[in-house]
Amino acid sequence: MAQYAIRRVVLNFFVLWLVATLVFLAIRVLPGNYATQQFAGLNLGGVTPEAIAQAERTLGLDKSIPEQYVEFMTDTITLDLGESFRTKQSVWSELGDALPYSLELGMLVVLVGFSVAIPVGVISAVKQDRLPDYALRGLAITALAAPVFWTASIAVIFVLKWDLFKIDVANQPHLWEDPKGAIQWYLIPMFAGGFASTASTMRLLRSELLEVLRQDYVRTARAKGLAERTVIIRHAMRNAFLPVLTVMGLTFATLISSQIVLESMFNIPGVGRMLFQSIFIRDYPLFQGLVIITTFVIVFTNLAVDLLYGFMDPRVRLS
Amino acid sequence: MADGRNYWQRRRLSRRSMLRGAAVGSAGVAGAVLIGCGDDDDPTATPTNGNGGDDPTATATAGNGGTDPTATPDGGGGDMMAVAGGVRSAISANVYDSVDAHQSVASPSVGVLSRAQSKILRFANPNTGELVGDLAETWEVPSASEVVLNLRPGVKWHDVGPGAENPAASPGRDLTVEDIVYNIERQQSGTYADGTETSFGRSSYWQKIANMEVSDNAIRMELTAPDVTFVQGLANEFNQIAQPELLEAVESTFSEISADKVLGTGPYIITEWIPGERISGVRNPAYYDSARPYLDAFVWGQAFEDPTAYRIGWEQKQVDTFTDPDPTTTQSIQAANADESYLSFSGVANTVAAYTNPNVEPWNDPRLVKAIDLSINRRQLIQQLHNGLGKVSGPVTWLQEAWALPEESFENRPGYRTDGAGREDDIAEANKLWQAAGGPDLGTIDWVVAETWASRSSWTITPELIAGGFNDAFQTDQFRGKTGPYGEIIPSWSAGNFEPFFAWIPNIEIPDARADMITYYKSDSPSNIWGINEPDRIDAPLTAALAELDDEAAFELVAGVQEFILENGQFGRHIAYNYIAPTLAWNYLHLTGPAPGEGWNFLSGSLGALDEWIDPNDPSFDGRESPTPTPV
Repeated sequence: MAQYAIRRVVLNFFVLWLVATLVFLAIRVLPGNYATQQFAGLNLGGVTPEAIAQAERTLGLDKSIPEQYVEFMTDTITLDLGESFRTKQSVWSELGDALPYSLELGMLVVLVGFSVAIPVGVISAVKQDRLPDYALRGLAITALAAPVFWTASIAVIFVLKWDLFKIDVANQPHLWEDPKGAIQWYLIPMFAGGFASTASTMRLLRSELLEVLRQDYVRTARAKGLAERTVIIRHAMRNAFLPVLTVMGLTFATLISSQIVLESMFNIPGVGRMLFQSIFIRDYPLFQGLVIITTFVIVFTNLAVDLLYGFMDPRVRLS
Repeated sequence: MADGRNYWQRRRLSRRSMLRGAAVGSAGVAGAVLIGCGDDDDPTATPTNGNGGDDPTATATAGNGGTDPTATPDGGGGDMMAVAGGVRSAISANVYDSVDAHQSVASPSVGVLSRAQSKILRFANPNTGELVGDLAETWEVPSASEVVLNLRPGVKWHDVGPGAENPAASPGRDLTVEDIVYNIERQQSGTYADGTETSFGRSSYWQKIANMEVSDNAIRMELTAPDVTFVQGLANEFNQIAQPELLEAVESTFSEISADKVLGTGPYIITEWIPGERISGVRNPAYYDSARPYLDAFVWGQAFEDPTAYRIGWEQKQVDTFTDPDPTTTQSIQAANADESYLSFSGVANTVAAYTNPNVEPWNDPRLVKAIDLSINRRQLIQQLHNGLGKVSGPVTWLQEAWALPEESFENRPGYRTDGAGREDDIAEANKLWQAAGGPDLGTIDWVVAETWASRSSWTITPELIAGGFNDAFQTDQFRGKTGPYGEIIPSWSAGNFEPFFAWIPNIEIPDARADMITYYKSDSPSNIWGINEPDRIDAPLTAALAELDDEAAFELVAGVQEFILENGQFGRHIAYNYIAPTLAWNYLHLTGPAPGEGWNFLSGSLGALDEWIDPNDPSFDGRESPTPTPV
């Protein structure tokens, strides 16, 4: 097991190097850079090659691509991800500001998603091909089909029309600063995001549970006279939950950086929105740093999930 | 409330009334150089916005140059006494490039700095170019190549706040003529105090000064050549005056934004400046105009990336104004809150145009250039992209209203006609030219639309509209629309090897259009990237206009040049129109403008800072939570 873990860690670092190289190149393939983007709002009578050159020099963009790459990799190895072109703050500092928001939203979305998906998935499996199953599957398909921006927009319209509660888009409170204000602010995005993520998890859990419920050991458990509730929760769920656990882990990791739509709609200054903006304004250090960190989180979450498999399933541990 | 539906159809300010002021100023009457003096009996001046969002408070105010606290035209309608106090809540653009206005290339930074730093002069009416004194209390223009500035006495640098606490600063001291001279000479030299070369955006403007003489509290400037537009440049938002001691200390780290690098003499003290997060300022109690600003403070939060967030912020009164690139969104939200809000209409200084490159084939063929110019359906684009909110522009945009050709003259002008038959004639003529220039043999022609334009939801169709318009006009399918980033367009523009493109470009420097005409059309101008070389028809009349103290005569010269440019298909610089942006405000907020419901066109940052006010007694104020500014 230890050898397996070490091998995976080494492989993960290779993946990180590969991703770092790709993002370094990918952002530079896009036309223009941060310096030239700044001129978009300027009277072009004042735009001269000298002005552009000076702006590029200030940002270190006058160096050759290989020079920039060597500098970037050297800094990255020493965990120096550079400074954002826009704010002149270190990427770590930028991430430190944005990550709590994304974690808060991500946790709430996962909380809502799984709070709904798990009971619904179980009910749907246990009541297979009966009215509750059809109704819940219909709901799942609706959730899958409805884009989060649509669900959120509809909710916003109702909140504004009846002035239900304040959505504090201006002050952006953290949960620990102003729990009530923060929950109100996150309420729509957490339900819109959670509702959307419910569908796939619920369907996965249902199919896994159906398969497990047909296993011999479940029949044995029932034959022993165990209560149906005990059979499902103690025996069936534990096995059916393994793939769901994988999905949970990866969902949470990707949620940190993928809530671009919800973060934009509700002015949540999280990682997803920052990532999107960094591409748009060609903030190379910020984009590169965020992608590397996100990749780090995802690959190591994946590793943690795999190791958790071993913990939950002795067969994996022994193999 | 103003009736915005007819806003762009109103009669414009008469040229006679504007030029009257200019003539007085040109005669050398101190303090009265009013190039475009707003006439009390003619409330029809046209308006607009900042340079594409340089000032988050967008629309601005008129007032009598900020000297009479009892006269406050208000956007909310009616003549009301301004109420002092309150905190204005707005949003800010996210990209700030500099704490040094002289080194800034982007207007958002300048919009912030103009709250804290004064200029030598400022615009009382940016639409017309009417000037009032700022750090110079009065000024004289004895001749076309001389300007005399008389410093306002008793002006002091901020004595509190982060800038004042900077060890390099000298807080609270008196402003001197040497401070102003330092700011000018610094930009002329193009170097930092330690001799390091740098780039100051307005260096070429200041190099127009051949000699400066300082005496007591006056500065006499002698220009290298006659240029009556020079005086307006003193009010340019980029030409702010900062404290020399602090400038020297921070000039090499100008791009690292921080409130402690800003020290001015302006109406507000910047107490916090965190790009992408928050900007806050409080009223300068020692401002030279004790009645201004009306507000106690301002707080600009993070810009909303998405209209939904912005709408939530506005409807729940977390921010005071709302505007969306799609005017129908703004208008529909106003309709839903009709009793408590109003729309303020501002022309936008980003001029929309199609550009062809005469330096490369096939666009070096004048027939092709003319064909393109005739075939652009400007009025249809205004309808399709802006819900009809806009007006066609010629070489001088309608925003520079004292110098633009009369709007009526465009009704029957080829390429601009309003009647169907005239339009058909234009298309027929364009087709003839297209055929004669071998258009059908040119193969596929890509027409680039700037992606910052095309990415906006209501404008995503623009590439298809542009290409489709040409294809329809020339009965072909050769034109293909595509998007391209400004980051690619701008370097190719400055290098002179750009593809045909369609974009908005803020090409207005000051209200006096003579300066911009010289910049873009004179044969020896570095910005004449079209290589236009018409010594007799363009260079000579523009040079004469620049030295002409009689503005009526100058206008005739500029108008003649415009006519010539239009006859030649605008030489590839196919100016189309300037659109109008509605800003939605709660009734409690009194924006400023030349008339109720109208905003300024450009260069309005100083006016907004001084003259906006909040009425806590207005019914719409109910439920508004005042933001908390960062204290000094």
